[in-house]
Amino acid sequence: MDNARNVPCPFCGLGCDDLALRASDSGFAIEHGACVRSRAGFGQPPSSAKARVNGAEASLDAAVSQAAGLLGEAREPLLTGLATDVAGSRAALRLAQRTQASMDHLHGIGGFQGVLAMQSSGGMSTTMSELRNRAELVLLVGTNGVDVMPRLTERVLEGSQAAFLDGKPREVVVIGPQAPDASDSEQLHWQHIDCPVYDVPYAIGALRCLLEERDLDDAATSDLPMTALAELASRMREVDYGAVVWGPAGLGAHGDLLVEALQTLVQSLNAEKRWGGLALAGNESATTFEEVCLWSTGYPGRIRFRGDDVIYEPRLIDAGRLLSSGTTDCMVWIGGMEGDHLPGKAEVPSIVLTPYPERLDWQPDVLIPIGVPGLDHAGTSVRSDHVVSLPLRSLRDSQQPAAADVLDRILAGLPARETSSC
Amino acid sequence: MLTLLRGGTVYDPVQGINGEVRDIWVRDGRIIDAPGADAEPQQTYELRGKIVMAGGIDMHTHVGGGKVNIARTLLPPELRAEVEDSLRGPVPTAWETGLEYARMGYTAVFEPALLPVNARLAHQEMGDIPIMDKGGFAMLGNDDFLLKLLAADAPQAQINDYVSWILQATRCMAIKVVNPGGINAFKFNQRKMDLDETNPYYGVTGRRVLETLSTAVQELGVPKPLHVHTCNLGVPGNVETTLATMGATGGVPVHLTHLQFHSYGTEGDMGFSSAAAPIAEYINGHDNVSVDVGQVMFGQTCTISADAMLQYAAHPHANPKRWLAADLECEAGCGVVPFKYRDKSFVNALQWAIGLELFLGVNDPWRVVLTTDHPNGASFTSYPHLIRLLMDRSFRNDRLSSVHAEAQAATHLASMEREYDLYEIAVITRSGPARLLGLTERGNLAPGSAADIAVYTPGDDWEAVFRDASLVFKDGTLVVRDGKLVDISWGVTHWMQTEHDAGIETSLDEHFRSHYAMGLANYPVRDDDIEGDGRGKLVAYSCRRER
Ligand code: SF4
Ligand SMILES: [Zn+2]
Repeated sequence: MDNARNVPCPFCGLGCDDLALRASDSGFAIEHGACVRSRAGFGQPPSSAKARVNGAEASLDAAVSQAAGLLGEAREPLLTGLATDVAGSRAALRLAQRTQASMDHLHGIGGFQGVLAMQSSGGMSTTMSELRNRAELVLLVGTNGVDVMPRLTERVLEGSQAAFLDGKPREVVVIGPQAPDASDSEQLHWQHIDCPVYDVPYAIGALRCLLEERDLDDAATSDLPMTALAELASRMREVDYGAVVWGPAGLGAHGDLLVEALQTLVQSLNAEKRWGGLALAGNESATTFEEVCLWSTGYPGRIRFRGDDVIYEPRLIDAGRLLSSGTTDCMVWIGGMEGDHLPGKAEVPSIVLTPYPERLDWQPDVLIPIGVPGLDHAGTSVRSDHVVSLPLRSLRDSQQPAAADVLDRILAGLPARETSSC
Repeated sequence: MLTLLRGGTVYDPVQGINGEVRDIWVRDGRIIDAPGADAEPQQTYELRGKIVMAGGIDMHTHVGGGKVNIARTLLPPELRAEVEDSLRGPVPTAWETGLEYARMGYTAVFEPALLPVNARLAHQEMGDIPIMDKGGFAMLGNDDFLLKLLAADAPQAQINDYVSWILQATRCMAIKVVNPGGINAFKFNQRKMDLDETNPYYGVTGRRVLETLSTAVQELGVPKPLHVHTCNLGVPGNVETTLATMGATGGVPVHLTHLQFHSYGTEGDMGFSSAAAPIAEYINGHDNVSVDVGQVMFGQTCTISADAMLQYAAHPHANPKRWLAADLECEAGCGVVPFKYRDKSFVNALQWAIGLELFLGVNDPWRVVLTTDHPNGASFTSYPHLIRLLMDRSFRNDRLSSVHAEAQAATHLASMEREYDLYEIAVITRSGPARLLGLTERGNLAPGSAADIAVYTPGDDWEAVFRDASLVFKDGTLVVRDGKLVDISWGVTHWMQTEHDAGIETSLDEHFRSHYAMGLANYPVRDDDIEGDGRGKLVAYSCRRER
């Protein structure tokens, strides 16, 4: 382990790449670019955990061949987790195709709100750098930003970094239950329009009516902070460039409808001024898997391979449901970038590939420790805005293989069949 | 391994071979001179009566990069059933892309609108396209760094350094400009920008961007002329801008892409007319201009362009009704608008005719490349149909007689007698694009060149002939037989090695700190990003060496 600078961070969808790390025996200390997630991620000591088969230590070869045997017998396997880099996503797709599996990223339907909205209305979007340089006014809907991406304020919202604001401060308005997590500065003014999660869609609906000068039913608005919303609407009309940002996790059960409402709002605002939407997505490599899955299958996830075809059922191919209803007969879990999302005990034969084997509180049939992309091995991850990818580095000599290597070895160990196509 | 392709009828415009019966010998992936009389090939293919050409090269096809995935999201394959001419929908997967191209005898595809900051991911996506060689054109001309340099009257040498740095950082083959300065202007809420209008923030005209970039490309020695998607895409009357663009580089080589979308007049009751004739005439008189057509075909597709300004303006035409436009990372933008071209629509039918008028009106096939601007005009899977339209006048006129009646009256297509022959088809689908790109070892069948070879069985219906190649060899390996995949290979990534003063990184570093949410150090594509999966391979061309 050496000290390293300009290190890209794989631990959330913001994709900071300015970290300076100092090597220590137990892991890396962060000298620049620390946040709660990166500190935990880079701080973990190198793992020497061994693979396990039915709870007993085993060689990697033995674990791989056991996994291949289980998968070879399965008729309805499920690949989930899928929190991995581009190479891991590619390998998972190859294995899923060969075993005719279903696939669902650990974010499940939550990660799909943006996709479903896109498939209904499309949208108008912006990216991290555009927002940073241009946005005079930013709406944070259902999130204060930092709960999803701890360094969002420092890296993107901080107004002094804006190339085109001519020194004007940036205004950020949080709509939802969370309060802003930073205080005002000369360059950054926060405002909080406080309302419970279940009122956020109504607040956005009211905002649209105000912007479009449509009548509002008093009964429907009595619980809403209408004065603040009316002020916001008039402010929104004035700015040359604004951004509407949402955190997928904070949008509630029908988040896709809310994202669609936000996207159509942004679309219509562009008739006069420039606006862009941006989802704070991509944690646990969700964006990475989505991109690779799209170019490999034509779909963003939640798929099932059937012969040469791919079936896309965004509301039905749900890992949790497939497992609880007994419609899958073998689970493969891949990844878990941060270790706080790990699979619960499954009732079917289970193969778990994770960098955090010791955090699992149950014993899968096959447990294979893997490395963390960007720490134990090199790779590529995709930032939340889908546009920028990070060149993840190998920062230390690791005993743990990359997910892609393990998956490809399992694939090679499957009983022979006719050729596969990806 | 020594392979003999015996007695096929060869069309290789690079060597001036026009339908001569020849043997072709291949050893270790390369075409070689006929070995001595006692040489024993391990494998012999009897090709008597077959058509033999180099593998096809698509110089302009959107097969990689974020906007292609946006199109896949907006128009998922559930709409496949609605798409004519293709099993797989207008925006196929990487895997299908390779298969469908290979089936037609193509062996190379170039993504012409690679957003530099997206280069790593675009290359990785293209890396999953089987069989094909690939490459990208890096987009400049709306990036704040270049516009800032132009606004400050930076010397041409500094611009050249930057352009070279971009080619190296993105591992790209050429430079493209889209709506010069206009995509950037849209971010400042300007809705229209013609060649001599200025960007509101930088005060720089599109013409200035064109002049500077085409000069940089020439001075760096990049073979491929600047690839230009000019202003006013799809706007009636844009012929004036297009003619001005072709003249804007003052004789420096320039390539106008998807020319069909830029060849519109305003005559007639509908205020929309063909301006293919004056444009073809201009090209015929100016050797420095090359073009690709961007032919329109009827059916469902999805338009994807970096031209966020004009794609936004086109959004009311979205079909189905969902569309996306985006501002991208201080570099460019994009717009994705699903669209259905209908032969009973006056405008669409005339667009179809204008593309064909251009193909038939430009005399020198070496300066016209066959494209549909996949998927903007149509899917690339419509190429065999397009080839038949070019080769078979009676088929063309039959098809013409079934489109919107007033569109028929508005085109002089019916009177155009020209029919492309096989030699000319070989020019516009392989040798011409190879020469424009500077690919000396592809797009021809000369000894020393890569053994990318397509074999077709002649027949009356040229569409059927070119739909399924009888045999396709990629680097000497048989990969397709009778249109079906028989083996897999992964092709290489071509890129252009240029030289520059490393001092440019000092200004870039400063710009990255002030504009990007990413550092300069992590921007360049690493060779391992392309080769690390064990099947990708980079092939560099050195500009200085060739000049
Ligand atoms: S905000 Fe996200 S990307 Fe940035 S350092 Fe923290 S975890 Fe890493
Ligand atoms: Zn194009």
